[in-house]
Amino acid sequence: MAAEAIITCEGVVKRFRGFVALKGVDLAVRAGEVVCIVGPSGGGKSTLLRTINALESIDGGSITVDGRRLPGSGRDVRHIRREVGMVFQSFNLFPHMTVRRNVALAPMRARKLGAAEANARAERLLARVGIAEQIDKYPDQLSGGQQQRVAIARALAMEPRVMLFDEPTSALDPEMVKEVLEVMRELAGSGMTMLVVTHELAFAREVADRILFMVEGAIAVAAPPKEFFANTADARLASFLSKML
Amino acid sequence: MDLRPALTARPPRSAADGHAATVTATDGAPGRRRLRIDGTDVVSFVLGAAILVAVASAIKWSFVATLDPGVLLQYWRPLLRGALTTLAITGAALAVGLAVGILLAVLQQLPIGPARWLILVYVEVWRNTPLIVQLFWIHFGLPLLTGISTTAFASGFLALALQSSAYLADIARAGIQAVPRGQWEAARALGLPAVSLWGEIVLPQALRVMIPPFTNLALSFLNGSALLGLLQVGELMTAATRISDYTFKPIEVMSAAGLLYLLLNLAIGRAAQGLERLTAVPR
Repeated sequence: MAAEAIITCEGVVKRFRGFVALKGVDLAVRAGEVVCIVGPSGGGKSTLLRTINALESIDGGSITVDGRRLPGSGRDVRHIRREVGMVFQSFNLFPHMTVRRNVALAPMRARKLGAAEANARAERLLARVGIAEQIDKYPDQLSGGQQQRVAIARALAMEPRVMLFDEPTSALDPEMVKEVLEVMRELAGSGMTMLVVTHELAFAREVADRILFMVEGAIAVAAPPKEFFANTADARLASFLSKML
Repeated sequence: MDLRPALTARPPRSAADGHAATVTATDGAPGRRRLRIDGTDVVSFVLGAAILVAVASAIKWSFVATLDPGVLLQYWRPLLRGALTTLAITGAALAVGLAVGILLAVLQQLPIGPARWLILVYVEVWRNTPLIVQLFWIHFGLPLLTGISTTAFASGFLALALQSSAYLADIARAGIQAVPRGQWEAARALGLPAVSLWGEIVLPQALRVMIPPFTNLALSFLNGSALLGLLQVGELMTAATRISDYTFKPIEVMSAAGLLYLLLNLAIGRAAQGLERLTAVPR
């Protein structure tokens, strides 16, 4: 199993000024696997996600992504970031660029793709997430759900091997959650390796191969959905689930 | 009749303005607005008239009669040339100052300790000493110290460029820090190279934020450039001083110079407004 793992975390430790956010996390994600991470806020879910593409440096242990190790050189970090797409809670689209340019920019700059090819890719991906007709608008002219779908297309434009989702629907109005989850469901079905921090338990149950319950900087439970929701052994998980369901 | 909108279409009144508010509220009938005069209008009219009378009586009209606007008809060309020189030297200095300031601000964001300290010292020295002292350092100190001597124009240009670069380094720093963290994170997560991160994501957004403080700086430097007249740099104040010394009409000539500074600054303010509109992010 380790051989086909595309992400391997070994004893990952992260400290923020004395506060230990990750207490030696071990995790292996296979190519094509969809892993959802749930748990109470402050449990280290987002931090773990952010260490995987080196948005947070780690203070102990190691992370291997697509054969490159963290902590590593600038070259390793750049390689990993090209191969790992990330979708943020607050979209973080570039407000001064059209939707088209938001999506086409990174392939041109980080993959040296020609402008015509990058544009064609942007058009194809925006059609895939259902925003083809908004391609020449600016992010602030779109709804939250549309912006998040653009953000997904932007990450996909790099043709990453892994996609990280950091609470992608938490900043959305309820009626827009569905359209974003729909895109993510389609993506999961296409075989993309996905690591999703979410509060959408129904989505996790439906789409995930494995669900992780993170609390106090450690993975307390890791199990396929069926077992996960049937788990009564872990009191913290039981308490969490009773609050969420 | 011109008074009507001013008298009737008033902003909503506060509770303190109670008596007037009742008048407006009970008179909400549709149709033609009628001229209404209430207590506050009478007070403002009386006050305004009193101020006018006071000012008019303080002025020595006999002196005003001796003013000679004709001197301006005679010397408008050198004055205008001076104004254009002022615009050119200030504009060029600010352009250089902007480029240097942005460069310093970017360098300051990088984790290079000594560079940060050097930049900090540079900014504090040029920002916290008077322009006139800097002018003398450059024009008279530099040749003594190094043997490099500069023309008055070059000295003036250098002083303006150096001081503005220090201010602009700080304005640019604030602009860069105003770009949300999420923008940096998205750029990094996408694997954008540093040149693209700075040139296409951070600086375009930072520059937009910098427009209003930069405009203030441009106005104060255009006015401040009048100090260059001390070195006879050849800009507007040099021209105005020469003409007024020659004609013995300082009031007329200096007022004309002031008017030219005013017009230049108004134009800069307008241009800045246009630039802000032009660079506004569509929403």
